[in-house]
Amino acid sequence: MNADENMEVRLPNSLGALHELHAVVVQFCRRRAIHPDTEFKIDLALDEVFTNIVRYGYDDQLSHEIVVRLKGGQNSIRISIEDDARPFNPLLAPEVDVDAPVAERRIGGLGIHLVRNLMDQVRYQRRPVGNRLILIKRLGKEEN
Amino acid sequence: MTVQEGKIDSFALLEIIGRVTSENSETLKAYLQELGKREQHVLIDCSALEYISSTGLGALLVLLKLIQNKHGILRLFCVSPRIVEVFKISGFDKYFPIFPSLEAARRAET
Repeated sequence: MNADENMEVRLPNSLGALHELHAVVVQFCRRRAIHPDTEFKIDLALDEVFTNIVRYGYDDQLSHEIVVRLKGGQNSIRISIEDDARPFNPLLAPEVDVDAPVAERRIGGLGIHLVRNLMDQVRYQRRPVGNRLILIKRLGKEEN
Repeated sequence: MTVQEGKIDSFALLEIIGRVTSENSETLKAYLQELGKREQHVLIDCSALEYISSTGLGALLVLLKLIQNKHGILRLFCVSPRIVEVFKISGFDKYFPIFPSLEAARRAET
């Protein structure tokens, strides 16, 4: 594996860091000539995961670090997001009702619903302190 | 993200430009809430909308609820295929009629 194909970024738990996260995704995908449709999906999935951590992960007002790693393989991209937030497995969150009538539709839970549907695999790992979410996106379908 | 507003027929014509992320979606939501209170019929030009996250979809849902409560019309047009897919995954394609052009949106039968 060429080290240049992997990227790691350490971001503060602030929505202001979304710019930097987006820039990292763009740089990683362009360097690997990943299809723009796939880049869009990775960008959106990471935005949703990062936003959930920043908004709901911390009970204090302190600064925390969220570590995002992107790793390119032959057939897939592996993304991990590590935090020191309180334990939360988003895969156990209740599914959103996408068929609900407008008046009853709530927006909560939509982020993780998008992540599940945009990525090919989502795995959760509890860490001694914090959480790790692993996203796998297969390459190929849009690449052709 | 920037927002531009105009008027066509009895519709408010809104253009959302750029990227709607969770960082700026509160700004959009505040704008759409105000728009939804003063207008009854709204067309949204999405031709320059590059990206929208779930919080941005939430802002659109707020506007839709306000418009539907007064039996108004809300239509989107020129939505990129990537964003249409996000709408479909979210179930929002059932809430928001999407048209290929401004002409199609303004002339559609209710």
